[in-house]
Amino acid sequence: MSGTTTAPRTTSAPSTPPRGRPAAVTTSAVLALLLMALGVVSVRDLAVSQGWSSGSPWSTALLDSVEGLTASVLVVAVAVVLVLLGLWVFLRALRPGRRTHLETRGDADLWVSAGAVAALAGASADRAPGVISAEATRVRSRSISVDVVTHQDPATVEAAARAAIDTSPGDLTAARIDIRMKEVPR
Amino acid sequence: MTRRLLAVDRVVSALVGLGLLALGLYLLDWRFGVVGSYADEVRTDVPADVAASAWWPWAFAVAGVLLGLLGLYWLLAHLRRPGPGTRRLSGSDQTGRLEADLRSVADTLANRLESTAPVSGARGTTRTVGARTLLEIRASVERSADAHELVAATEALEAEVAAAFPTDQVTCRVVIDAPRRRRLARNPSGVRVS
Repeated sequence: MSGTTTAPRTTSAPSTPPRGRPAAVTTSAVLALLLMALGVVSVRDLAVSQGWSSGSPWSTALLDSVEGLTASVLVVAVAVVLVLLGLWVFLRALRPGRRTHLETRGDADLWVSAGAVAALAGASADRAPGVISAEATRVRSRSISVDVVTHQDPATVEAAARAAIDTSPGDLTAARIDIRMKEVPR
Repeated sequence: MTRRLLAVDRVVSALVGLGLLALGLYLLDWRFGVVGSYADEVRTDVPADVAASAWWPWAFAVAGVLLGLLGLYWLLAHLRRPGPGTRRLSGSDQTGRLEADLRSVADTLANRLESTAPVSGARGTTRTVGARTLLEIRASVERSADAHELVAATEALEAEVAAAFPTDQVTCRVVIDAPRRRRLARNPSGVRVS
């Protein structure tokens, strides 16, 4: 990337970055489904207890299975699982949604995902002279790797690919774009 | 999904997490007796009597159905389109209210972005950020796109929104995702480069 300094955002646009869905939403969906399942079980138990359907009520079966339970090793194992699950659910509830997009340099309120930057970089490098194929292989929020295949002098082709990437996406975001050369025989 | 719903999700999830944690600690304490002392065996005489009564299945079913409906409502609430639908404009006074239909503005902006920038599948949503209304346009970039065109199209769109709402705090934001399909086939030419 070129050494252009990041221009401060001069517009009064809000700088809250786009975020993905917080983990609490998934937990809530599971809880909502569990509530619905409880509703189904309660109606089933009513149907069974009134003789509308055959079988035995699951709520009383649950009570029977708990009757006479002692603090066995199995209970300890369940307790440990509950503690870990509870901690996990609690921490997930507090966690904010993941940042999904990178801020772009300049004044525009434009946010680009790392995947989009990688696609642009891969396509740019692919069009550079001497490149057989180019593809973004490692895409992270701060660094992107583009694998370039050539059968010419790797240094020359790398310079061409670098020039192409510097043109677009260039310094659109602060993500670093690395080029990994792979030379194949003619 | 609204802010309030997200707050409900967070609070309920946190409480359920704490509940599970407390239950786990209670069971551990039952085994090791660090804090309290408990009976060796679980007796379910009282709840079993309740469960055997004539009214219990009906009460359980009514409560279960109500909770199930609550769960359904809760789940479906997540599907609702987020963000404000309209915004009162500063031209409103005693003689009349002036409101902008933000969703149609956002949809129009999405179409506009698709025609001016190398993107596809653009769609617009609205959000409230503080006192400001944000028109958020999400789109997938075309693989052959030029980054400068993206920036130029976004700046043009922002200028149009600023011209349309000169005194109202309405701004637009463009959020770009990766191309939607990576490629049609892994290697359509059948040529392999190793």
